[in-house]
Amino acid sequence: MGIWHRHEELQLVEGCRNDSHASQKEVFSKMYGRLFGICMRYADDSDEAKDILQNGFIKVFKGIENYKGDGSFEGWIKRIVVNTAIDNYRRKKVKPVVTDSELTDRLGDDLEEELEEDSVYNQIQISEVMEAVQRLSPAYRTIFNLYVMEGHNHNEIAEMLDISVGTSKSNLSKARMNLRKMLQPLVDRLSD
Amino acid sequence: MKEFDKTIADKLNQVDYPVDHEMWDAIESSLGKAPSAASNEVSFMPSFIAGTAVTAAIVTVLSLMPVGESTHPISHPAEAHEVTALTEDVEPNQESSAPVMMHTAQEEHEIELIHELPQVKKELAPTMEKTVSSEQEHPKEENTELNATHSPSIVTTIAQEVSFRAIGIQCAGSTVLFKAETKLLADIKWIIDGVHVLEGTEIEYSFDDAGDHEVVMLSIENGNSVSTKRVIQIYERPEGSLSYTVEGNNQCFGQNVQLKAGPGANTYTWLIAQQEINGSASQVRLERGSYSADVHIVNEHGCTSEQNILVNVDGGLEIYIPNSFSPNNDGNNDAWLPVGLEKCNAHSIQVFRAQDNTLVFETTEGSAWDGNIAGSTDLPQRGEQFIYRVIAEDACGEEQELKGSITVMQ
Repeated sequence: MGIWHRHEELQLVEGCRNDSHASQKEVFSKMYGRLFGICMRYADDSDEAKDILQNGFIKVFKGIENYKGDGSFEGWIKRIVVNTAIDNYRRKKVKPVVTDSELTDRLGDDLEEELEEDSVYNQIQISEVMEAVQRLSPAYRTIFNLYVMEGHNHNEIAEMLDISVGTSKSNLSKARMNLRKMLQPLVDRLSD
Repeated sequence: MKEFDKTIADKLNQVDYPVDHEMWDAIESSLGKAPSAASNEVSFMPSFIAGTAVTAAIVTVLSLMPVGESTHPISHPAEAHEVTALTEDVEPNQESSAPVMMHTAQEEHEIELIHELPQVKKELAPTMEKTVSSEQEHPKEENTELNATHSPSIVTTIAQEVSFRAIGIQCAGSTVLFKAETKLLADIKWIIDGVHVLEGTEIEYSFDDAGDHEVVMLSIENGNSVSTKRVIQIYERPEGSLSYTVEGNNQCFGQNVQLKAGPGANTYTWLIAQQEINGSASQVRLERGSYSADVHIVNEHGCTSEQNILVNVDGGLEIYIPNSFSPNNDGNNDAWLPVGLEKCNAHSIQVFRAQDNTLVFETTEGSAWDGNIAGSTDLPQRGEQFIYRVIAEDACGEEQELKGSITVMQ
């Protein structure tokens, strides 16, 4: 279940449409924690994450008329914040690593399968996982977020970031491998 | 979804942070709600008139206000701060311990406009003079052209009725939003630099050139008009030329590339090969290839420009890997072996069969693959594809991983 019941959502949306201070603050207070977590996944540091989130909230409140009630209000707000993060990424003009060979991309996936382990990462703390994600390069981090966290497929990511599908696949594969490398010492520490 | 992805996603979805109340204040301010934001807004008063007696009186009262308090120094939000450490790859000429000033790019902000001395073009009409004088008594301003009285309460009221604001970025080429702030006046016209005329309570204008620009807001109602004149200062965008030099070394993949930008005491941020580097003269290590370097330049006024240069790195250790061979014992291309590994400190080769991803060959000795499939009597078929993975460490200790395909031709 989401943060609010449906009837609460509808009241909040109506309040925000009427520029109600109380409604806007309720939305901000209830959603800040999760949304800031999303922004931290996309940003280089907490300052950048704050900028993204602040701009996202302003877009939410100024663009409240665009919420048509098709999906949950919470989901709509999250999409706006993610889009704000992607806009921020595009502005930074980060170029993903480009590899065009489908064969090598496939190899990356296949080799990755061999390394797959199941539950060893469960024991790592949330903050350590977040730190590892933040240490990924901006391109790897963004593609990992879009694929794993937001559930986009490679065709969608390629279109969103103006890159090839092969590049998206390759960067995702490398993001996973780098994450594993960073998390491995933590796994080793726990197994000692 | 892969198990690994799911585990990471589960962890990240549990992330929560305490509310940042300062951000809420900033959001409220952006939405025009915070009381502090309102108190920071600057009201601009009309400076000369071209209309009827009523508006002339209003303007005249305002013209009698002392200008000192409302004449603000021009400010911009380019905050400077000291940076005690740059990136590791700092060019030698920056080795001085002197702090480097970093300029921050302007963000959209309320722009302070220069308050020009009011110029009253018309005398007061008796009716309005009476209206003004009917307020509580105030000493007469003897040194004014019209010798009229004024009331602070009237001044404040009128000032709020005929003011305008400017919001945007104070740099050439950026758009500035001018917003009339008046409830009384119906039609608003704007005259920019005495030439460009626009209409509307809100207009956007982009100044092409740096310098002082005159903005006049003309408010017209029932044939009466009041004009408000202010000057906005626009700053130049930074310029500079970019160059680079490559220090060749054929023993290593990476080459030292010196990046240079200038002239001017601007802040330069390079983005090249996914690396962000600060400084007018910086060093980056790049492997053979062509790279697009984007440079974000910020000057002391917070104005920015983007420049780009293509960096070609021709030198460096190169590993040549054949993409086909013909293991048929005819004396030609019977074995497959990358060229250049002999210059490396260490290396490993793995070959996989593309069909089932089986490892068919592996070595760390630099020996050639003759096409035999390890652990099997199978022979490679014509047109069959294999995938190689070569990891090589060069003389500088840098590692490179190379992947690609091999096709059997026989």
